[in-house]
Amino acid sequence: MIYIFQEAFKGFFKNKSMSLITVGIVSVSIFIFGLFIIGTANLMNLIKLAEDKIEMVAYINENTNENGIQSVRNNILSIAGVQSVEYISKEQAKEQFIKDFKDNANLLEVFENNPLPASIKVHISIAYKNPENLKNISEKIALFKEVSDVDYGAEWVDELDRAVKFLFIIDIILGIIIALASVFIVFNTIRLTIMARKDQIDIMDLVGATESYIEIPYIIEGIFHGLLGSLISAGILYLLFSFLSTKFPALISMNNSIICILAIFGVFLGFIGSIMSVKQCLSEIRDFKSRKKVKI
Amino acid sequence: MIEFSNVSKSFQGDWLALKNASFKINKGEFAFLIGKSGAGKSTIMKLIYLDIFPEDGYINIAGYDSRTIKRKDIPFLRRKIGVIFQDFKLLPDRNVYDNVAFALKVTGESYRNIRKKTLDALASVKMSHKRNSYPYQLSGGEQQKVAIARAIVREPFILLADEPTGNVDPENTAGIMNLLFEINTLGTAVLMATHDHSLIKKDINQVIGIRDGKIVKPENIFSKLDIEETESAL
Repeated sequence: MIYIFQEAFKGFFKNKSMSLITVGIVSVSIFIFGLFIIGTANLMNLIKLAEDKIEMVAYINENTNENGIQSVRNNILSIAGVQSVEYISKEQAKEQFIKDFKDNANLLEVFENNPLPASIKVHISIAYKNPENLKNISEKIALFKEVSDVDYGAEWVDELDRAVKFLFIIDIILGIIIALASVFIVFNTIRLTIMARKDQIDIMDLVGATESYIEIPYIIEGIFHGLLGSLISAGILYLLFSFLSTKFPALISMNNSIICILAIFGVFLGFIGSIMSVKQCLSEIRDFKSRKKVKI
Repeated sequence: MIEFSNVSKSFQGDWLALKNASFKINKGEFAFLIGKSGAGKSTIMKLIYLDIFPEDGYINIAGYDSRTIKRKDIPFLRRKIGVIFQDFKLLPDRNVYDNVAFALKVTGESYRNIRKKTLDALASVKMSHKRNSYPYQLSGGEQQKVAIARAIVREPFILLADEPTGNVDPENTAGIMNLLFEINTLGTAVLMATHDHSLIKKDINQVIGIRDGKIVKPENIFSKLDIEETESAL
């Protein structure tokens, strides 16, 4: 066991230039993957901000009394997906109108009475903020006799939903491409470092080392390459996004979970890359021997 | 101890490297395998440590049968066989001590034993004084001695020497040969493949001739006689 760790450690430092190239390539691959992860996190944040803006308003009939308002409030609250409700009286609506349309506030003066209806602002849980559920909830609210109309910007919600789905698909495709490209690049780099030590593997095989004894030092070395590469790229990303967030405060920067994702991705790449490479190297050595005309 | 029974081996589908080879090597024996380049000597060596497998026939190596051995058991067979090559196959980035110790480390030998066994093996090939040197600092003969130390450090029952003097000057060739005979007198069987008749000592146990993949009488390895009639010399 001591040998295995010693050999992995030695392997890393003995082949300094190869190790540096491998770690460098892993860093670049994971840096690109990290950019993608942070980009996705920011995209999700934007979507959440947009979804937060979705609100439903139930307009109340003119002649509804206090009891009616109380009962419709309770009824709306009992609908699945409704988080909270907020009653806006006619007066409050007028105040809000004047606040919102400062310059044209005198528009209301043409009316004898306040034309703005009382309403109930319905806050919907995030899980229900999709076209189907919003439509269902609005239809249920519209059935109450105290409610004259329900509005939640159906068209805008549909458009947002379409955009989110589209972005999500693009994001997943991009993520898969970047992840596969990283696996491919890292796999090939690790493969080169292992192939460079083909003679050593050949001798290990010759003197009777078991497969796990041959493979484990290379796998540990590969994991170390992956981990180091991912930590370097996480460091660079951290500095980059710390700088960017001073310019764009709303930006989601590096956080512990992103660093963890990158580290796990790096370790995964190193592990998969090295285990596949060393197995391939061993089978190439063996296959080569069984096919070639041996030197006599 | 080693038995070849009607062993045939071809490469790349058509080229028959070994045809119906049958012979035995007994415990503690010193045997020569003699033949021209391309006759099939290295194929026999590789078949013994099961680097390659026969297509027909079978080989029994110290109780391991080539037909039934499992892949996971091959490393354990190889620990009982020492192998040296014409090109030494030393690791250039490790010194003499580490090259020899490597064979013990990668086979899980306890740390306590590695140092003692490595130094003993280096002493037996008279290379203790060069234990800190790197292969590139050694002559061909010295490199081969280190390779021999690595091959015997696990105390194998047989040492396979594939043209061990091929890259060694005549002066050192005698030294290598004497070392192989010494190792044999201590109880390890030796099978040495060579094309050089002059290396064969008269009192040797067995000389196996090989020509075009067939076992022949040693005197017939260069003759133009029909080898079909002269095979099974042993």
